[in-house]
Amino acid sequence: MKNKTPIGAALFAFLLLSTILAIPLGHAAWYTPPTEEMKFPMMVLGWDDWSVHSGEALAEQLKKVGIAVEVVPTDDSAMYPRLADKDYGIEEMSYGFTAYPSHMFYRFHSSMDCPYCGNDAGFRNAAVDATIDEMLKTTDKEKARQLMFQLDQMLAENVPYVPLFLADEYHAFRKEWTGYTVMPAGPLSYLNWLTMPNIYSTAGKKQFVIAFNNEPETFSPMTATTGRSLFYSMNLYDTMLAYDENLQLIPWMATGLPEFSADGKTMTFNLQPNLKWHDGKPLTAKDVIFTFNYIVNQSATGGNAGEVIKYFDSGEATDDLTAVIHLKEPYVWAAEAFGTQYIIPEHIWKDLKYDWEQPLVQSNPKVAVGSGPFKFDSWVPGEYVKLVKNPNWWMKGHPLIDTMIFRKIDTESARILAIQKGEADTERYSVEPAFVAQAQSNPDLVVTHAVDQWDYLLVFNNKSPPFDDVWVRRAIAYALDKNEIVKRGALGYGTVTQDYVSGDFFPFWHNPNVVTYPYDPDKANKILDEQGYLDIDGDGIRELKQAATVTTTTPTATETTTTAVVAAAEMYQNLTYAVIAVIIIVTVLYLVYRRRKKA
Amino acid sequence: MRDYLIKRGVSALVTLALAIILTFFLFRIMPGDPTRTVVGDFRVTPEVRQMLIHQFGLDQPIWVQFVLYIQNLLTGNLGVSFQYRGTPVTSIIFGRRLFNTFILMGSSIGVALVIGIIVGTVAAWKRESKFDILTVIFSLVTYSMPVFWLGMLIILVFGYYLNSIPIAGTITVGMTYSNVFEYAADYLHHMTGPFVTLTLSFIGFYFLIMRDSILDVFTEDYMLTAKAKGLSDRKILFRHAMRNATLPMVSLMAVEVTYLFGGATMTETVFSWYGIGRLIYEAVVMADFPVLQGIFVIMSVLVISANFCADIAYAFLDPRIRY
Repeated sequence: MKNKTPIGAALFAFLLLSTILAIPLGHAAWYTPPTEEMKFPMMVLGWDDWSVHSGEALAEQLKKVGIAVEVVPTDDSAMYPRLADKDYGIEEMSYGFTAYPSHMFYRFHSSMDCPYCGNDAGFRNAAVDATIDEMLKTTDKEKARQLMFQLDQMLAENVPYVPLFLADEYHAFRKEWTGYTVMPAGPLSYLNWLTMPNIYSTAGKKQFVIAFNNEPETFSPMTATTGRSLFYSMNLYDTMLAYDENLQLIPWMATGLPEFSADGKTMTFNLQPNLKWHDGKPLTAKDVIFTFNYIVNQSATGGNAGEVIKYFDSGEATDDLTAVIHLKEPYVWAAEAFGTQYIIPEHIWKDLKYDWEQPLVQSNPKVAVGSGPFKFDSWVPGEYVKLVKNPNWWMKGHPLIDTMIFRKIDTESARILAIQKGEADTERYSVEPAFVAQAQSNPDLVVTHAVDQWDYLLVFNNKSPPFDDVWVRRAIAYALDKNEIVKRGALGYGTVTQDYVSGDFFPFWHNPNVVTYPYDPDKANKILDEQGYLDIDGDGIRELKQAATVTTTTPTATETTTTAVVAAAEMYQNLTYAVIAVIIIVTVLYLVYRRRKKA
Repeated sequence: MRDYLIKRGVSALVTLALAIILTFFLFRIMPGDPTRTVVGDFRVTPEVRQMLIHQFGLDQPIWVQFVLYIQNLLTGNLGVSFQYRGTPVTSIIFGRRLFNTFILMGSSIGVALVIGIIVGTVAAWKRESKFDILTVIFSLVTYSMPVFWLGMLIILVFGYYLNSIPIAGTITVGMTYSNVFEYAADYLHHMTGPFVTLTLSFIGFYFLIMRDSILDVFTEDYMLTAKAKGLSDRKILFRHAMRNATLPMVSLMAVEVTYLFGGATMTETVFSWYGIGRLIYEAVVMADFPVLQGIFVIMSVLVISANFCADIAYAFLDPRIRY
């Protein structure tokens, strides 16, 4: 026993030291661009089967045009920092749409080419930037739409990434339920205001049970940033505007869409009379203005906080029903961003800090007092959340059910069994692909079908050769058989997307005449041949263009500094490796020495 | 004896301190950015992300984070969860989850242990009989069967087709209880599925170890002495053999304490049993470092103190142990 202690201590010290020293290693560069052949590692999201399997299908198709892609399933914790550092060549996964195509700004504007900003492709194009800027400032929707068409066309020519497909949304309801609205992202989503107030049972049931695999993270709309939290906000709180089944704005608490001033910088919302909070106090335009001031002053993160903080300048309630909002500059989606922000009650929140420490309803029941169609009733952690009908809601007679229950069931197989058995009426998210056929064949269930918000993309690092060559990106776009990718990657449960503003998700903003890249491997081969990416050694993989074509330029001052920093980082990294190696060697020698001595 | 206690106590404390330090750095080597997974929505602007990073305290240098971590630990504060928007880690761990895990793991480990010890003893006694062969086969099968598969099978057959156990959860949704016994009955009804699954999966392990241990004891000289003294078979088996063979089980139990606290992720997930195992899984997926850190620290405290207790128990059980 005694003899073992130093060895144990040595091993422990080794473990501890190597762990500490490994911290910088975790952040070491991962990707080295190829120098000879068109051969790349492609990151896919390891836990997402669709990402992995469509990646595999895609790799096979690219092989046929002489591009070798090795699929590397990667965990998000490793993938996102690499995307942030542009430390990759090519990757494939889903990104996600919201109710309006603001992704056209986040994914393509050069100001978003920064760590964790959204422009993962590192795409920079002055003409595209100018069009985006102009579109963002246009409050006339028809004009903005024409600019969006132009933008879609410009991107189609530049191919910063290849859109692959949208996941399909299948929802299984027990057949006695009706009145729900099927729209992009499905009948139960945080973009669907219409289903919960209008759903009812033909069998006269008054309790609607939704099987849900997650615990509520927060009931506060000021901290709700994910779909699962925003769905609670949607039922407990209310907004001035909502979306119809084509994702077009409709009046909700407001009497109509907001009126804009001529310069587009002032927006006026008119509220319905007699709106009430759950505690019976009246809801007025003052609460509306308070909400936006609160978000800006307290740096809240929930809902549309990002856009509100960016564009809100000031606001005033000219009377109880009129909220006037002044923007810092005109914004094409100002009505969407401000109109669909959940409004909080001034009389409660004026004393409440945006409370990062205690935001849940358990510790602070005030946070669940909203004006939405449902009121908070109870939450048994790990079991269920119960919401009850708000009898004073403005839409007379609605909601049509009395109680709404989120029941926690962790696995899809158990959720489907619970729905088939009648223990639940539907589930919160889409039926998983492997269970769609089973649900469709069950006579007790009705399965709805829509496109989901998850769009799968093949993203190029536009700064890393050879993907900085638009012809390579175009050739790859031609080489992909998207129908086959959907069939293999998503078991057929997906909808192919050909452009950057999918018409299946955004019918209003979609340009029907945009250039697309139909599957044509011959054309892909021809382009690559013409551009000089030839398979010289005949191994089936194309060679990169000769190094001779690379011109040398004098580095600028910033480039020199960057190089110095990179060199220093590399030295530090090598040093760390060396220290770890020394520790290992010393430990081993020590262990051997102890053995010898003992013997 | 006092020296022995002090010695063990000091070494336990040193181990604990090292475990706490290691836990902190272990999570910092994971490459990644918790805000990305927690925020979830791509619409979140860089400004909002910066605010979250500030709230999480991730903009502090690593040694500042370390000092804060140690300071907080000393005051019993395990920090706040990223995923559950700032809910204190202590209230996430010490609540319903821990209760559920303790009840489920405690009862299934306890029952499996008792059955394993008794059946193992008998099987060793009747070595190579039909009973022995059948129990060995049974325990090998249940031990190597994937637990989630067994659980899903039980749900499908008993939960869906026979409709005799609930599919998920620990209590019936929306039910009001008139007294605590009604609540307990409902709770136990919900526990049937996971309890049977876990007990079946644990039995094999205890059974095989106990059987081997008894077979080992049979070769000892004192067994021959006992036989020569003319003691009855029953007395030899349960007084002499079983008592001595239980010693390895004591050290085994000290290790099993982690299960008691850590839960069984697979079984908890399959039966939607709201416990710690499921929490660990969720925290890993959501990069919720404070929760993981908290669980690891509490677990190391438990294991180290359980081992300390086992050391002392050994000193009492085995007269040969003297330092």
